[in-house]
Formats: sequence, structure tokens, C-alpha cells
Amino acid sequence: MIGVWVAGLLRRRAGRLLTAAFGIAIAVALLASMGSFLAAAKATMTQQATTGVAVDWQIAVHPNAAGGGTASVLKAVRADQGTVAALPVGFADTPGLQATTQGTTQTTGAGKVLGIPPGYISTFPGAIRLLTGSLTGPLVAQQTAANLHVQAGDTVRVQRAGLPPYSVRIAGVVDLPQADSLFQQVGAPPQSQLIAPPDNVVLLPSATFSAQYAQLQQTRPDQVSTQIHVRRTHALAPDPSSAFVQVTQAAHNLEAATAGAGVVGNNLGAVLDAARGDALYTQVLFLFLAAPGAVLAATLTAAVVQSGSTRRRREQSLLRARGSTSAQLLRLVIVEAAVISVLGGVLGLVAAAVIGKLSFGSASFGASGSQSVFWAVAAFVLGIVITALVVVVPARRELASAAGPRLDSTRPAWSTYGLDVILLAVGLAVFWAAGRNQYQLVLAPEGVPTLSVSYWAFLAPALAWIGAGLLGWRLADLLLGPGRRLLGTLLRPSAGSLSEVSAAMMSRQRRIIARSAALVGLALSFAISTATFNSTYQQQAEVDAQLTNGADVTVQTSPGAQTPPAYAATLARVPGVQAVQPIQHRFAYVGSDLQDLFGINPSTITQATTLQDPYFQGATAAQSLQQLASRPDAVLVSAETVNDYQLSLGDQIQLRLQDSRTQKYTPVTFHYVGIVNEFPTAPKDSFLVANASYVASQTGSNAVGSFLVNTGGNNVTTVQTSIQHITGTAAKVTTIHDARGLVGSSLTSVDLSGLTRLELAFALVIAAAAGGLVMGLGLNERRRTIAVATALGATRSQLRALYSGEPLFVVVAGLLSGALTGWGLSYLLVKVLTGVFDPPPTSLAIPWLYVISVALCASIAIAGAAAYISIRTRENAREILREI
Amino acid sequence: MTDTLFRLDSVSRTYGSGAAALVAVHDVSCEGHRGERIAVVGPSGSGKSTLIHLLAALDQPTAGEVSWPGLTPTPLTDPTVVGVVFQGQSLVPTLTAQENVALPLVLRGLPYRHAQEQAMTHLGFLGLESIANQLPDELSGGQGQRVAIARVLAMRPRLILADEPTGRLDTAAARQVVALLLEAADELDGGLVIATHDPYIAGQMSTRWRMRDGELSVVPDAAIGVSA
Repeated sequence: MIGVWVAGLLRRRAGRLLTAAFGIAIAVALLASMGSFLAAAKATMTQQATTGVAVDWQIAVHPNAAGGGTASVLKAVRADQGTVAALPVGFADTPGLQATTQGTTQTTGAGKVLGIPPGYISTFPGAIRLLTGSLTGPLVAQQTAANLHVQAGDTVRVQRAGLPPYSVRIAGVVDLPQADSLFQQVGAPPQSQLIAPPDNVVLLPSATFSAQYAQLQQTRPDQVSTQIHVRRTHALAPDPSSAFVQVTQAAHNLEAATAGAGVVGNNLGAVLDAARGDALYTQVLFLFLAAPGAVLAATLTAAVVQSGSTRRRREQSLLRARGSTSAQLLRLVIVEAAVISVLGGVLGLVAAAVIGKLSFGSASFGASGSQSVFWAVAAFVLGIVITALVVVVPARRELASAAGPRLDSTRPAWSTYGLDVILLAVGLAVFWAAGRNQYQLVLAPEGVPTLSVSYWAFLAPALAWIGAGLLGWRLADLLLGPGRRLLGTLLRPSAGSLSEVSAAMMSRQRRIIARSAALVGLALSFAISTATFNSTYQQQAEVDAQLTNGADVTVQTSPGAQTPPAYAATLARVPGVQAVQPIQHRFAYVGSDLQDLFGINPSTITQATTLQDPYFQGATAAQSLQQLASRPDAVLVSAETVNDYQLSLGDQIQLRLQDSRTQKYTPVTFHYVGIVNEFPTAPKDSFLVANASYVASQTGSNAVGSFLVNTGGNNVTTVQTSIQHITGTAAKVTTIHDARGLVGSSLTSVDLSGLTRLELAFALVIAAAAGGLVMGLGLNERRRTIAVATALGATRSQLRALYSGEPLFVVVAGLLSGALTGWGLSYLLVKVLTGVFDPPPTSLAIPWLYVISVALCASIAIAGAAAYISIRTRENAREILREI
Repeated sequence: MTDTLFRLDSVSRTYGSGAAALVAVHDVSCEGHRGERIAVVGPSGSGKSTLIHLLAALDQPTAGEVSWPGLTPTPLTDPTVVGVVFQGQSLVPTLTAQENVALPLVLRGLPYRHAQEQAMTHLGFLGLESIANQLPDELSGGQGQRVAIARVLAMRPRLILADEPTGRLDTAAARQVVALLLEAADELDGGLVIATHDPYIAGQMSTRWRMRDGELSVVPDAAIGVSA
């Protein structure tokens, strides 16, 4: 009997089976694709993080420790399984450097001398970058070259503590891209690390280094040390968290093996530590974006299945009349569900493989074989569970109560208990409570293997989404039921004299119509909120890039170079430059705390860069700049400083700034006028913003730290090249493109764009399918009614008037509830996922083109389905009537 | 205007083709006139329903010609000139009895409120006021057919066609429906054709046609006997 039933289903109900399977396929494909995304994103994060590290481990050798000296530590390191290459590097302090060029002698402060072994540059290609000259011989860092006014071929005199200085001929000028980690104090806690890497650095071939420092190492071991620089295998677990644990454990093992003689500066672990927090955010995004999609697909399938319930009841009655028992009927339903879930599962997995291939370049669902199997099985099982929930459970309920409701007149239980209002209220309460407690969505304490996500925060948008969807359903139901008279009036423009009849017909179908409108609304809100979230993310990434770089192009002068503001005029003449603004960069003591101080011209700074309101606290950007311009000695300070020193607006504060005439830090009086959180080129921690003219007059120097160059967003690279040509190595010229790379490396913009494409495509499909399928299948059930109306003399236009109300209502109500819920949900999502944004957005970025496209697609799908059914019914009206 | 409401000239209707071809109506020629009450009797599958559908222009002959000399316009251009009562449920399930009866009137351009009033009059004529606000699913089979007859009355066709209208009704309800159909035909001064198995109904008609294997023959008054 089951075989006959299945054959019959496939022959006679193939369309409906395929439609239900399509709904299941969406859920399965969504989960499997998201699995692909998650796995691919995590693997990319690990890969990007590890690729960017110049030296994986810097092992400080403690010569006096029990484990022995450099040789034994080096041996242990090289014996370690994960070691690809290990080379010893000498570190020595120098009290100063000196060079005489073009008749003038320049002397610097303290610096560092490194002893670089042969093969170092090829082993660690990211550590040293040649700017000019050659790599064979002594090298100086770019800033040192600028300080000493030297270039390749010049001689530098290097001082030594307690020993006479020596001279070296410079072979080349280099950049040390990862100077921060290169000069870290290995083993010291973060707060004890240097604020900035040394300005003065000389790199010597190891033989030269040994010759110059062998004696000093004996007499002043505190002045000379050795580090072993290690390149590790990057064949790590794809998940940054697992990779972090793997690398950290390996470092601990090595430290144990060397009995304390080697202390590991784990640069690889540090970047993985940062990446795992981002990976967790990716997981959070997955939950936010995949879960609603799966719920929608399930609801869609339920709607499809329910739209065929009249047919199913009829068939069941027939089978009952011929002696079938409830158990037999249930078995047939289970068989139908199995066919749907297998079809949907296979279709979904194939679709996910294609999507994975197109979006992430891989047709598998995970980074490894086991991960692929896991996601494939999980997605398939989800399909089975959804089918069971939407096909078997309702059928079982119907079989239990032999006479189900004929017309869709029963009131849903959730409506009776006001579940919509409760969910909305609880969702908003959770949001309010979570916001009040200043929670952190993702908690990844530095160095600690355990990570945590505040899943509690998910509750607010999830409850609000479902609550809003149900409320939309309730309102639609109210308009269709008690508001029938109003509905008739609203339908008059489209239905004319048939508006009352149309309203009456719709009111008797109000459960299914309201449910369709709610489903379309939910699908649209899902599409709108994810699109808005993504485009807000992109907007903020752009803002972050500008905040990091300062402007389209930024020219950073070398420390010590006394570049005057008038140099801006030279830069402004470069083709493609629209505006140039100088920014002073000084250091100022606030009490004992050394902070960056930026001197600007508040009335012209915005010509070259954008200042957003969230950069400031308690006032808008314009108001803050106005306050700064209101008095020469005005200063904007960070919120932390305001708290630490209990400052009130207008308070006088004494800062100590270096006077260029005496080179001494002297007190300068300022007045506190506002709080600044972020500022172009400023660091993340505390800093100060003041009037450049006042700072210049008080310190005797108008030297500029950097010039912000506005190119109007065009020809950025060309302008960069032109300016670099003018400034030579005396200044560092960076662009917003460089900053985008830095910003994107955290929650990688590359992966997020893949996710964006994926989820937007799914949202589009779900919205269109929700509208089209539900309407199409619903109307299909009412073909006979249209046929009867045709027999009663209804013309084409009358039929259109009679049946246009239904799709029109679903479109309008769906669009309205979708737009409102989508907007609200976008707001909640952006607030809840605020940790993803840096800086937080001033406003939501609504991708109108996409929103309009989705709305149009859903509307066209609904109208198309209605038109198709209407045309098909008119054509077949006689056949349908003959069957009556 | 001629009294001949419809005419069939050598009409055949074949479904399918080749070996699988099924001849439902074969070379039938006949006429129906104003005031005539015709019963079409015959066993299941004999072609009764096909004949009714051809008369209602719900189907087209594969040979011969169907014409409606006494009907202007013809059912081909305006289906409402013929009122059809079907064997099964032919009411719009989402409209009440009263709205169902009013529907053809609204489709003809009568304002909704007036159509509703007229529908109530027709329902009252058949004694159905009490079920005016009920949906078709809430009505018994007999009540549903009576509402369908009320709807035909509202359409005021000159030819009423009924395809086994009592097939799913008990005897009492069936007799009531037939009485109403005859009453409606009288009220409209038109023709009535009923396809039926029921000898009692056939006995109530002035003319009786027998269908057997798609062929039609006229039954003399004395020979009313219907085999199922």
C-alpha cells in the first residue's frame, strides 16, 4: 500500500511535494551554507592572522638560567616538532648614535642595535623591508635615517656603555613593519611593555655584532642579550581558538623543556588570541542570520503543507470510508514526510554545495572532512525535524480529532493568550536590561583559553522578531475580521462595486491571508534587517578606515623633522588634492600620565577629514569644534581623564609640554571644554585635542606631525605616489586603502562580503517564495470558487477585481509590517552587536536599492502567482465545473 | 422570439483519440422549447452529464452543432442566460447563502446592498431566510441545493439545467428540490432540463429522453423505467 501511495504522490502531487521539499531545501541549504561560511571564515581568520606575523616566536635566552645558554636553547627549539626555522638574534642597547652629513652633525638619544644572522631576511621576510640601498651590510631604520640625515653609504657612529664608540658604513635604509613586537620585552606583562618602539635602530650582520659586543656582553650583560627568532609551522587547526590553544601549549612545552632558560614571546599566539574573539563574533553572526532563516523556511514549509490540508482531509475521509485506520493513515503521512524531507535534504545540500563553490570557492561544508560531514548531517537532520514538525505533527492532531475545522475559522492559541505582546514586551525588557548592564557580547580575555558569548543578548532581537511577526498577524486578522467594512472601503479603488464581496470573501479566509501577510512581513523584515546590518557594518568599516588613517591620504612627518604648517600649500598643489590640513602631534603630561596631544585648526579641520558625532561625548562634532574654537586655550580630553581628574566643563588644567627652545617639559594652562572619544590618527587610549596656534605659541614650535589630505575619495593611490615622490623617505605617506586592510583583518571584510551575498540571496529567495508560494498554493485551493464565479458570468476584469484584493492585502500588509519590523530589528541588531562596530554608527545605513528589490521581488512573486492561478482557472473553468 | 430554446444537430462528443477514444455523446439531434420540462434518464456513464454540459456551453461538441435560437445572447458569450444546478457543492464556500445568491446580481452591476436585499427575497421565496447568514459548509446537502436554486432564480435564466441535482439527497429533500426547480421554471417561464436516475423525478416531467451509450431516444409516457 505504501509503495502505491508513494507512486501516486509522485505522479499526482508532484508539484505540491516539490514545493514543500523546496521549503525544506531552503532551510537545509541555509544551514549547510552557513556552515561553509563559518568554517571558511574561521579558517581564513586563522590563515590571515598567522600569515601576517613576521616572527612567530621571539625566545628570550636567559644565559644564567639552569637550562644553559643560547646553544642549548637553540637546540631545544630546533628539536621542537613545530619549528620550521630558528635563528639567534643579538640585541644591544646604545646610549646614542651620531652622524655627520653635509657639514652638520646629528646626535640621537638611546637606541637599539640588532645582530642579524645570515639567512634571517629570507627566513623572516616580513620582519625587515628594504627602502633604499642594499641589505648586505649594516642597516638603519627609516626613522633613524631621518633623524641622522643619513643614507646608504654614510657612516654612523654607535656609542656603547663603558666602551668607546665604533663606526659602521650604512648599506641600506629599512622599514621594520612589526617594530612593536620586535622590540617587545619578552615575558613582561602588557602594562610593562614599551609605549612605542625605539626611534633609533641599527642592524648589523651577526659577525659585526659579535665583534663589537662580545666584550660588552662580559662586562655589562644587562646591555646585551640574545633572542632566538622562530618560524613555526602554520599547519594549525582551522579554528582560531583551537589554533591558539595549540600554539600556546607548544610555547609552554618549550619553556618547560628549556627549564626556564628560554622565555617565549608568542607573537603567533597573540594574533590568534585576537582572531579567536573575532571568530566568536562570526559565530554570533551565524546565529543571528542563519537561525531566523531556518525558522522562516520552516514556517514557509508549514504554510505550504497547510495550504493542502483541505485536499489531505478529503483524501483521508475517503480512505477512512474504505476502511483505513488512523494508524494506517498516519503511516501514509509519515511516508509523505519522508519523501519531502529526503527530496528537500538532497536538493538543499546540492544547492549549498553550489553556493559554497560560488561564494567561498569550496563545495564542501567545512574546513575538514569531519566538519563537512557534521554540517551536512546537521543540515539534513534539520530538514527531517522541520518536516516532522510541519507535516506529521499537524496531521496527527487532525487524525486525533476526526472532524477538523472546515473553514479556517479557529483562533490560534497564541492569539488568545496574547503571546505576541508578551514576546515583544519581554524582548524589549531584555534589550533594556542588557543595555543597562553594559554587557559584552563576546568576552575573550587576553591569554585565557576560555571564551564566552552572552547568548542572553540574542533573546531580545529573537523575541522581538517573533513578537512583531505575530503582532503583524494579529493586526492583519483584525482588519480582515472586525474591520471588514473598512477593508471594503480600502478595496474600493481596486475592486470597485465588488469591493464588499471581495472583503466578505477575504474575511472568511482571514486566517490564511493574515498568516501569509505575516510570513511575507517576517521574510521582508529578515531581509531588511540583515541588509541594513551589513551595510551599516560596511559603512562603519569605512569610517574606521578613515579614523585609522585620518583622511584619504595622510602624510606623517618623521619625528624631529620641523615641518611647518605652510608645507600644506606644497601638498595642496599636487594634482588630485582637494584640501590639506596640518595636525600637530605632541606628547603632554596630564599629571604623571603621558598622553598624545593633537593640535588642530577647529574651523578648517573638516575640510580634510570627516568627524562623526560619536567621536565626541555630550555634544555633536560641530558643537565640540565650536567649543574648541571658542577660546585659544580650550582642550578636548578623553572621558577617562575627565573621570580620573574629576573635571567639570570650563575647569582649568595644567599640562606639561616640551618647549622646543629649552627641550624641557614646562606647564601650559588649558581649559577643558569637552570630551573626545575618537579622532583621526589618534590612538585608542586617552589623548587630547587643542588649538594648534595656541600650542605653537606656548611651545615655540609650529612643527606639524601629519598632514591630512582630502582627495574626494578619488585617485588616492596616484596622489599617494605623487606626494611620496615629493617627500622622499622623510615622510610616510599612507592611504585609506592601507587602513582598510588593517581594519578588515579583524572581522575580515572579505568573508563578511561572502556572508552578505549569501544571506541577502537567501532573504530574497525566502521573501519571494513566501509571497509567491503561499499565495499561489492558497489560490490554487480556491480554483473552484473562481470557476463558479466564471459560470455566474464574471468577466475578466470582475474576476481580477474579486481576487486582486487578496494578493494586494498580502503585499501591502507584508510590506508595511516587514518595513517596520525590519527597521526595528536593524536597530536592535546594531545595538546588540555593537561590539562588531568600531566606532559605533551614528545612524543605520539602509541599503534602499536592495530593500526596494526585495519588496519588488516579493510583490512580483505574489502578483505573478495570483495572475497565474487566475489565468489557469479561467482556462480550465469548464473542466473544473464539470467535476462539481 | 422563437420558442425553441436550444437545438442539437447530429452532435457528438468524443473524449481522447484512437483506441482510447470514449464516445460520450453520439450523433444526438434534439430540441428544447419554452415551457418544456425535460428529464434525461439513463445509467451512469450513458452521457447525461455531457449532454447537460453541451447545453450549458460548458463543453464543445467534437461533431455537429449546438445552437440556442431562443436565447440572446447565447451561453457561449454570456453564461448567465443558462442557470445550472450541479450535483455537488457549487456555492462559493467563503460567502454566506445570502451573499452566494447576491453574487450574480453584483456581477451584473447591482449595488451590493440592493443585491443583498433581492437575494433575501429569493431565499424567502424558497423559505430559506433562516439560513441566509450561514456558510455553505454549515448547510445540509438539500439546503445547499435549494440555495443554488435560489441563485438560479436570481439570475433569471430562460433555461435551467440541472445535472443530477438530487443525487446526494434523501428522498424527501430530493422531492422538495424538484418541486422548487419546477416552480422556478414556471416563475421564469423558461425551459427545464434535468438529468436524473430517479423515476419519480422523470415522472414529474413533460418530456423524457433516454441516454444509452451516448445515444438519445425519446421515451414514451408509458415506458418510464430507469435502470441505474
